[in-house]
Amino acid sequence: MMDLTVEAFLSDEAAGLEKIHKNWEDVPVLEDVANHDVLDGSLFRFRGMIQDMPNPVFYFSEYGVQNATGVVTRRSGKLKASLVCGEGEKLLLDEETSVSSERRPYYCVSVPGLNSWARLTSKGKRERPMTVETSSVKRPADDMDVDDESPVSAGESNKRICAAKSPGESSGSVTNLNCPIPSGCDAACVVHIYDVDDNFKVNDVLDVVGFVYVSGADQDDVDIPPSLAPRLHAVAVRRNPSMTINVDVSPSVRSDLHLALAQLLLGDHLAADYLICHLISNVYNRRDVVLGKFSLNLCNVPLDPLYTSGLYDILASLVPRSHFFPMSLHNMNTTDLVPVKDYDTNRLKTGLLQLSDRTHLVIDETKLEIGKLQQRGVQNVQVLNTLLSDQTVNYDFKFYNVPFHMNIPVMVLSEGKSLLQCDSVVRLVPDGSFAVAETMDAVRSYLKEPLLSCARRYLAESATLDFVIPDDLTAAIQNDFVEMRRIDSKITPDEMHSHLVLARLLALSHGQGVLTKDIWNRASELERLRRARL
Amino acid sequence: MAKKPGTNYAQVKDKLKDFLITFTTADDEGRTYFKYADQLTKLAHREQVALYFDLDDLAVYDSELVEPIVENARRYTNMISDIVHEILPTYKTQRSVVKDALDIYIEHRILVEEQRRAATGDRATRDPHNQYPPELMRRFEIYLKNVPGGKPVPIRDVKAQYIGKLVTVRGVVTRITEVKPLMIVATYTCDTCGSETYQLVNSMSFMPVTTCPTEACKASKAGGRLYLQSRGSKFIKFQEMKIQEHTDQVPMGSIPRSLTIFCRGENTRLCAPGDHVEMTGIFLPLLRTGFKQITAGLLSETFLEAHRIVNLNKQDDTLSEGELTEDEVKQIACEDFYQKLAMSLAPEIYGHEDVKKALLLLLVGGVDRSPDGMKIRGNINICLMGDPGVAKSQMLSYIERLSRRAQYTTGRGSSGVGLTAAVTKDPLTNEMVLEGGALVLADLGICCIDEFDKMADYDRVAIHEVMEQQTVSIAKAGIMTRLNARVSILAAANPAFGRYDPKKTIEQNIQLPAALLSRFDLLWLIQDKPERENDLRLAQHITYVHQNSKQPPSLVEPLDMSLMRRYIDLCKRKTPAIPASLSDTIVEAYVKMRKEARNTKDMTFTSARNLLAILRLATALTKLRLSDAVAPEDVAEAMRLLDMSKSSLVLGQEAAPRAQSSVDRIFSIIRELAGGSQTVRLAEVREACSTKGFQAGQVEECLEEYEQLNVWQVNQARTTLTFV
Repeated sequence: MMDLTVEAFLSDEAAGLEKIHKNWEDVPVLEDVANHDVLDGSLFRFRGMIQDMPNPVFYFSEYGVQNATGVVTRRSGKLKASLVCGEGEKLLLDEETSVSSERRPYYCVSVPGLNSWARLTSKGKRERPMTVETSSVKRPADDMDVDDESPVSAGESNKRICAAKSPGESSGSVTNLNCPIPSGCDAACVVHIYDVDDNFKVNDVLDVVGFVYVSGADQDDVDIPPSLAPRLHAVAVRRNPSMTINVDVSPSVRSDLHLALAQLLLGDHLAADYLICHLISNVYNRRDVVLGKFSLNLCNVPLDPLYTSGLYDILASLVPRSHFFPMSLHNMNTTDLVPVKDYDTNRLKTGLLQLSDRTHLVIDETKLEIGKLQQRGVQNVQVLNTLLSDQTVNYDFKFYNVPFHMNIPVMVLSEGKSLLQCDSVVRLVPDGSFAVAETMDAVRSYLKEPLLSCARRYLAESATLDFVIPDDLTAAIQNDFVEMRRIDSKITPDEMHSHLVLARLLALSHGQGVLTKDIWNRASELERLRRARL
Repeated sequence: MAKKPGTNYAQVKDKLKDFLITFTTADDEGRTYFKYADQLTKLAHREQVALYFDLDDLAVYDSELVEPIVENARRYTNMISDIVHEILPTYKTQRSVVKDALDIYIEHRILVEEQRRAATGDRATRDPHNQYPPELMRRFEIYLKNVPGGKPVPIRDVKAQYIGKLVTVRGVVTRITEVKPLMIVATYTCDTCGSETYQLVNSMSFMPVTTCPTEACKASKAGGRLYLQSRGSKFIKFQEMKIQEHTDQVPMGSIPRSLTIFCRGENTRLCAPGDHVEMTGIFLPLLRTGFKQITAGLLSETFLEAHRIVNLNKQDDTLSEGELTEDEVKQIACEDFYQKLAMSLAPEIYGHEDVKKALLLLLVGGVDRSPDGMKIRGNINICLMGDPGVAKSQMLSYIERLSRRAQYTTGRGSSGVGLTAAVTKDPLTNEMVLEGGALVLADLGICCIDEFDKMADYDRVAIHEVMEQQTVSIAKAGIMTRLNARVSILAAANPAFGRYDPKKTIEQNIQLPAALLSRFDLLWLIQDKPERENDLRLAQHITYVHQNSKQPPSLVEPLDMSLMRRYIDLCKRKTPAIPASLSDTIVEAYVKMRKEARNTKDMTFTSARNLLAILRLATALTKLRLSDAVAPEDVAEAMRLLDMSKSSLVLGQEAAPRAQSSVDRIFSIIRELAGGSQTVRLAEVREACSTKGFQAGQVEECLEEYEQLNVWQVNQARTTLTFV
């Protein structure tokens, strides 16, 4: 356990930071601790996605306090939720005694679409097991009675406000937290970051350690009280942390995974190759063009509803973050895909597409029925198409749109060719007859530890490898392209782009950082086979 | 406020006073006048309320004074107010007209004060609590005007170090409250002694005084209670608003920041939500008192006290980015600047040079003319056609981003208003309101219409008018009006059958009437044709991008968007004329074009509108050169573009299967003659063919060829032909 107080930390920051980084995994996780167990000013760890960035706030980094005898002492407001001013003391907040500094609040929510196996938990040490009630009923208002030891004078009034609000909030607390994908056990946290040069972006995942305050005064513009969204004053931040367990990746993992996925795809080895490439796709460059995206459309998928959801469940056990979106008429017409700025509350109202990088989105188009798309539905189709073509979502700020760069691998499961424009369309060809339930069970029993951890690590690692196309291959690639265009004039430049991306992903999936003639030929062969099926 | 060593406020005050009284400047006609003294006279007579204190003028008077004022704006504003208050009575030359209750109050108080002073002969005896606060008596407002050229600070950079300083920011108004009265001075009367007490209100809230503080009441222990006199208190118009930074100031992946603005007095009601504004104001912390200060804890909320608000919507947009600097002109001005500018359009789209050149001319536009009341539009309309996936939409959206005033819409229109305009009923007032559609909103700009072929019938009718007359007429629900729609239309259309069929005419391909198509100055068919040379370049391009993660370096470095914009602004200001010497060339060229159109089977329409198109394109080219007279080269280039656009349509035809030979055509004539029957008389065949212009030899050739193929048989006498 870490017993570091704000004062102790401020007295020797370097030593404090070293201690924190050394014991990073041992810092208790904020979500695991019931709100009434949180002591103001104690050290916690939180992992979440930046959902909104409220305006920066000015705080008194230094202020004077005059005691009864007229002696002025200077105090620091850093990492604190409120001013410290005892009985008989007088605050001096004028220009001579106080210094204003800026700190930035970041409104964070639990990482959307996080699969249960990737969830962060405290390392053992806490005796109190994680009970269902603390995680599912989110910080009930009753928890507030227990913060009597809080040193903040305003605690009393704050409690009253919260109690008054609670009836409305208990019903709609999930939406109030603004989680893009409500999962039932979401947490929110306002992370205050001091002296930042590094600009964090919306949708970044942060792993932060800092001092937490669950009661007390306004610390920012966020209208959610600290009892629902604790304020964490960060001392150390890790950006976009790895979410897989560090295990050694065995060389056979690709073939093992390929086998499992081929089984999952009803014996279709070609589709399995494409699926592996899709799973490790990652936008690695967007200076002038978006490079690295590889959205996949699996068509001719069996219409058994168990199949699409079963397929998704297997994928969810492989990637840390994913979301399944049944593209039914109702969903298209009612879902908010795009975040919208609400100027009444001055917050960014989230949408489904506010997802952190490499959150796999699986769209089930087999759920789509014939009917009328309303205006919202048409817009949603457009939004999805923009996402697929540019990996960009234009957040709606009413007076203008602000484009946000995304990095979301999208897979569309459909009966015929999807109405969304994917980079690659693979027609699923089942190998003989199949029974959906049995297939799923077989795959599930095959994908077990240690293969499972290994496959997770493999998929996460392969995506970020460096890659080069050697100069001596360029001529061959160009000739192949020209030849392809000669034979089939319908091949578009976009298809040529995805062909190269496929070659890259194929090489990466084999752990190779350099494109070889062999891999290129195999990619071309895959493309040829895929086209032949369409 | 921290006193800086060496700042002698008394001295500064004298200087400012001198400045206000003596500063002179020249008006438009060159006469010098007392800029501030004249205004002071107006203030004294209540003809003017706000006095804008221009720091630029002060810089002329004494440049050393400007910086301290910017740094410590609040204090100096108060100082200037004091000065004005002090010297104002000397400017009063006539008795001002009493305007409202407060005037009477003030007048009355001054009278009382004079009487009292006369009675006691001493002013110091008055209880300080009961002294009139100067704020109560002031009927003027002082606003600072920042030095021009002081660049606006991005809202993101307004940080703690700006507190107390005068800053200029830009943004979009997102929220604005109603204008409310804000109490500046609260006036109370005592129910026991009857004396008046004043309380100065500096913050957003105040604690009313209840017990009378006068000596009389205190001494008598009467416990006089005070009552607020709203008629005697001074209120000021107050409005709170929020502005949000512009998109170009938001770093990628960040949420736009906002800033709270307090507007008082004359600065209220100057803008509405959605307006783009430039504000100058003092960045201040919000004072809180009492309990709130403790709960607010460490935070200090901040706001900008507005001093000057400029609504940029109502202004010429071009002012915002300034003129081109010499370096930038050099960057543009080179041999192949035309090429360079064109290539800078949508650099991410590969090739299509001529299309880009045409789009560049569309951005610049020709010259509007109205000889004898007839209006000839100068705006250039372009229609891009082509197979799906040839970057038409990308070009449109690039132009939309580049142009200062542009609307992007699809033929269907996204709102109920559609493209032109609609009459709607205001739900609150039940009044009929005219709401402009995309074409009206893009007035004096460019309207990019994607999916032009899918336009609603209602809009299609209206667009005829827009494209020539440049107006939209409305006759609906009792409203009859004509709105200006001086737009250039950039349309993109998909072929009706998925792919462009070169064998059919444009009308058939796009399914738009000729009347509409002829209104486009240029029609481009963008095709993605497989061709070895092109394919290789494309393949090289794509491999390069993947290999190096960037676009290959092109021969010309694309110009910056803002630079392009400003250059185009510069071009737009020119109004070149066509010299008389050129008219013969143009007429000749037109006649030649008509002749060619007659002789060849033309897919487009060569009409008088083409002549106008050439003139428009040529003048646009001249404008692009920043010249005042059209040169023969401009006309030649305009003709070339027109030719290229036509041949882009014809080129499509070449890709079609080989042209029919005379034999094939004769065969089809014979088939037609035969109709359903098996035999045809050869005399009829010969006659039909000769009327179509075929020679007898060709007919014989055809007969023989098909006889050999056993398609038909000709009898011995060679009079009849029987199909097999």
